[in-house]
Amino acid sequence: MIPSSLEVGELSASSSQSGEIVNLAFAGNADGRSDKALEKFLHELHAEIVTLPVILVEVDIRSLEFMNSSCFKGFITWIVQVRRMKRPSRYRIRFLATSKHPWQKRSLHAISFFGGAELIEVVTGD
Amino acid sequence: MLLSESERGVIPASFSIRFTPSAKLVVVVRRFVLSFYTRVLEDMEVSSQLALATHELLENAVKYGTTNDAVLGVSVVAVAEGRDGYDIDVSVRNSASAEHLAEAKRVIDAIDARDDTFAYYQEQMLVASEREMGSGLGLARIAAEAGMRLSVEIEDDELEIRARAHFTPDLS
Repeated sequence: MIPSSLEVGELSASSSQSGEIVNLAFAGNADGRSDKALEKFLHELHAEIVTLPVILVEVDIRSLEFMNSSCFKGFITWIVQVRRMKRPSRYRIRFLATSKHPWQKRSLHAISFFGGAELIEVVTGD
Repeated sequence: MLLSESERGVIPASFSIRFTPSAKLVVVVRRFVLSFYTRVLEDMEVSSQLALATHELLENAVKYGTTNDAVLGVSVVAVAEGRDGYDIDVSVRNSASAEHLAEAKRVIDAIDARDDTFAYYQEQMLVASEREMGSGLGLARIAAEAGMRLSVEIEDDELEIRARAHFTPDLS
């Protein structure tokens, strides 16, 4: 079962599944109070997803005011796990970002370069 | 009159604060830096870079500081006549263990030795994914994402990490 929510420090996350797509939404601040819990949440999410016929995880960070480098590491570790999956069962990750928080553009550029275009997609709106 | 409506463009705007950093207060200070410099510079992009550097440097002080004392300094200074733009500077001074002083210097020297900080950042992201404790990414992130140059000064058990950059306003 997909872990449904996370509330730690000023960070909140919720997830849901609709067919072959998992939606993840983050809000608040991802900082030193939430890094370990976030990494565990993403690890458990991945462990569950690989048992399901999921082809895409959509990660909505438009309401995420800031993410520090130790929380960033949680996403990197997750992406490395997905990258190591064999191609037919590998799912894609789509980030939904906003230009209202300029750090998102720079951080997602780094993360999408790291994960590769085959794996990571970034959609930025206002 | 807006703060930036001077004849030379950006009015120098600097502050320093001495406090006991905590994860909660780091967020408060980052928000202040973002809000204040967005108003001063009228440049959300640069203000966001200042805020990122402030947050990462202060979090280092929270994680590795050995006393309840840190000093944050942020400054924006118009450059000399005849040149466009302004210099920005974020520094955090705190005490740390000998091991962390050496580690901070090692990381900053490693970043400084690379022409392509983005490539270095990418390498460190892979290293971070294998680390059990911490990410080791904060300083590389400042260099690669905020485009700021890092330096460190160590005196006894205190270190001051400084992130600097020069920005030219987009006047279009």
